[in-house]
Amino acid sequence: MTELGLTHFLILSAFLFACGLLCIATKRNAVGILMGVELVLNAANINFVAFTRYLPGFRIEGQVFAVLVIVLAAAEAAVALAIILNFYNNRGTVDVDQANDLKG
Amino acid sequence: MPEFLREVPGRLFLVATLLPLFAFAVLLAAGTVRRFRSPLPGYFASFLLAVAASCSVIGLSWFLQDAESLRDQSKAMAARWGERVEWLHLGGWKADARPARSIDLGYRIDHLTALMVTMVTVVGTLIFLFSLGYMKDEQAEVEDHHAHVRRRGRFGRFYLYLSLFAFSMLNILIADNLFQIFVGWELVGVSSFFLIGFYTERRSASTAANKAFIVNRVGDAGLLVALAVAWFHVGSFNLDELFAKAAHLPADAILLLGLGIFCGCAGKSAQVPLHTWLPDAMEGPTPVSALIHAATMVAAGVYLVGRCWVLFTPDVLLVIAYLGAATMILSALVAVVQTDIKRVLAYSTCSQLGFMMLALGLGAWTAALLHLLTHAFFKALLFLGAGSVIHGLHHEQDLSKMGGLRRKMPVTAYTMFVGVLAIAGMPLLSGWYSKELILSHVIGSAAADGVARPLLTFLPFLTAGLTSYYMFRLWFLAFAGEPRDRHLFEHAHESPAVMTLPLLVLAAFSVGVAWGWPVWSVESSQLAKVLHHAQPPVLDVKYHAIHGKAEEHHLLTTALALGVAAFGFAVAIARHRAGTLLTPPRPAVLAQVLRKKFYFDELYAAAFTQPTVELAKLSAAADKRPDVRPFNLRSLDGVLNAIADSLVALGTVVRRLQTGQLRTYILALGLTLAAGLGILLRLSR
Repeated sequence: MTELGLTHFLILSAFLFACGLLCIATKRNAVGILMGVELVLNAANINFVAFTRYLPGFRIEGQVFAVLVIVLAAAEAAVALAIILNFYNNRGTVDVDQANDLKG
Repeated sequence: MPEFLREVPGRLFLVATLLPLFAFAVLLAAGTVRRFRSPLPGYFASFLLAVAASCSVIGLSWFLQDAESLRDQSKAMAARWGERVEWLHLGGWKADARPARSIDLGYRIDHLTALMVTMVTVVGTLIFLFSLGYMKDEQAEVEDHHAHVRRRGRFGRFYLYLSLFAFSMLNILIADNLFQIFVGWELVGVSSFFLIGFYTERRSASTAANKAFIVNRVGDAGLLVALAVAWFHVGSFNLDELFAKAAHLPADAILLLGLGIFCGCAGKSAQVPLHTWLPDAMEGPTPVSALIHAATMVAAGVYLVGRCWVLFTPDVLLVIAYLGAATMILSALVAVVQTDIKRVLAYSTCSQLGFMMLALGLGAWTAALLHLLTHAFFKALLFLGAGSVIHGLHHEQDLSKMGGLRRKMPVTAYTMFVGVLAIAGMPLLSGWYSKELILSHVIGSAAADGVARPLLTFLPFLTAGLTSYYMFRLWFLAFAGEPRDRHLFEHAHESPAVMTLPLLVLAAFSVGVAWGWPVWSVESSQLAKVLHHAQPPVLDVKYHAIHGKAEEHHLLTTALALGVAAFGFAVAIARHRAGTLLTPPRPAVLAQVLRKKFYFDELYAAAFTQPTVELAKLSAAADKRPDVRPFNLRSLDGVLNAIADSLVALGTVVRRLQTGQLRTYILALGLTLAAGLGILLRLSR
């Protein structure tokens, strides 16, 4: 059993990111997509924190950025939920495939 | 005499110039009154021009007196007989180091100007009067048989154009700078255009008007070049300044200046190769032909060459002489076979103008301008006579249908005979003096110059003979012998007094305008003496030897000139007796070439008109909407449509990418990201 290193965190982060991306790409439910987005953001957060912990050049920047991203994610969730709510009011569904007004 | 004239009597000529402009303005305003049908516009314009003529006659005599009493005070003369106002001020700002320049408007009277203005206004008045009779039909509704239309009469409009013309012509004459001359030049061109195309409904008339205008533009381009050279090198358009500085100009500039001026003059005075418009200009009403295309406007070119004589280098003078000679002989030859009474006169005019140009080119300044003045009188007489004949024959111009008319219209016939004698060079008539002077100068220059120019010596005499022949031919065909068209003859009538009176006056002028004492001596011609004062002083020195030689060979010249004229007359009368005046000359090729006027029109059509038309057709085709979709790259619209169509096609393909499906976007995003990472990895290895 080896010591936990930077690589492990990065692998976790990549796994989370892939999960998030997959979730966004495959879900038809808008709320599900929003969850995928959260996963992607948190994958980034893990990266930030891990780099600060293991690389000597950083002190607290990663943590600061992680907090920033969390705030950003909260704001984004608020906006996205508002959009979804409106969309539901208009279409009676949260299926993103129905949102094809911009189709060329 | 009003105060403003006593100080500056030159204003008399200014008034004479502005009166026709006033008539023009009034007629223009009156033209807006519809159904304005009365002889009033004619009376009004004629009256104003008559006043202008009296002004210029008074001005002329006053000027001659002044020139005598102020002989040595050129400054006082200049102040009394010329004025200038600044019209446009250019440059002279603080940051501009170049000197300020200005374009002035002004007038300057010398002997030449005074005589020319008097000639133009007097001949003009007579022609205005004549037109009162000739254009009478235009006062009512007119049935145009050539164009098959009924239209309103255009009596007022005729006098409107004539007044505009008179003003522009006088403006050229009194102007003291090239700029003003150019303005007059263009105005003369445009009024000529209006008058040639007066019967706009006739296709031939509108074509002729276009032709005259376009050919004149070619000449005017040259004049414009000359203006540019003058402005660039001298910085002023003032003629006196130009003359003073001409000697210090660079050689190529002075050459270009001279050639440019002559190019303009060649266009206006119908010199080869720009002569083709003049015979076609006969489509206009006959008084117009008399005033504009015989007596005055075409004389403007000769006048300007005479006025700017000191600006011409010997090379340019030689060009002038040779082109004049070519015009002279070619037109005279063509005139021999013409059967249209006006066209004979038109070619005769061309020929005589060439004669004057030749004389100017050889340095016979006084003689050439004397011929210009005398020619104006007898050519106006001849044209008005022709107009009277056409009027009397109900618009028949074909000589082959006339004959014997002197019994029906004696006044016209005999006044015209005076004109014929004058142009043929009958002694003691005005034409004789000027012709004789030119011919003696020709002989003199041949004898004095070391260089032999046989063409320049031989052709004038040949032309004199031809002139005599075709003019007598015209007279015999129209007035002598038996009528060839009975019907036409029986309906012929003499013109009313308003038309015959100008003929009589002009006949009197044609006889005596150049007289002096003793009458039989060419040298003593009073008109020539007056003109001689205006001659550039250089000429006296330059051509002293020639004058001497001319004196020496005086008798020979007279004998030769009279001989060829008499020979021409004899041939004409012999052919008249034999009844062969209308048979074309042999061999047939010659007749064909002459009838085709040396193929100038065909040549220009092939060289310039046809290519232009073809180019226009090509451009028009290129601009047409294409019939073939989607792609027709042979026309402009086709090319533009092809671009638009291919963009539409591209759009239809590309728009499929915008599915609106979030998942496809994410897929694309993920794939791009993967691909980007892959590339980065590869690169960083």
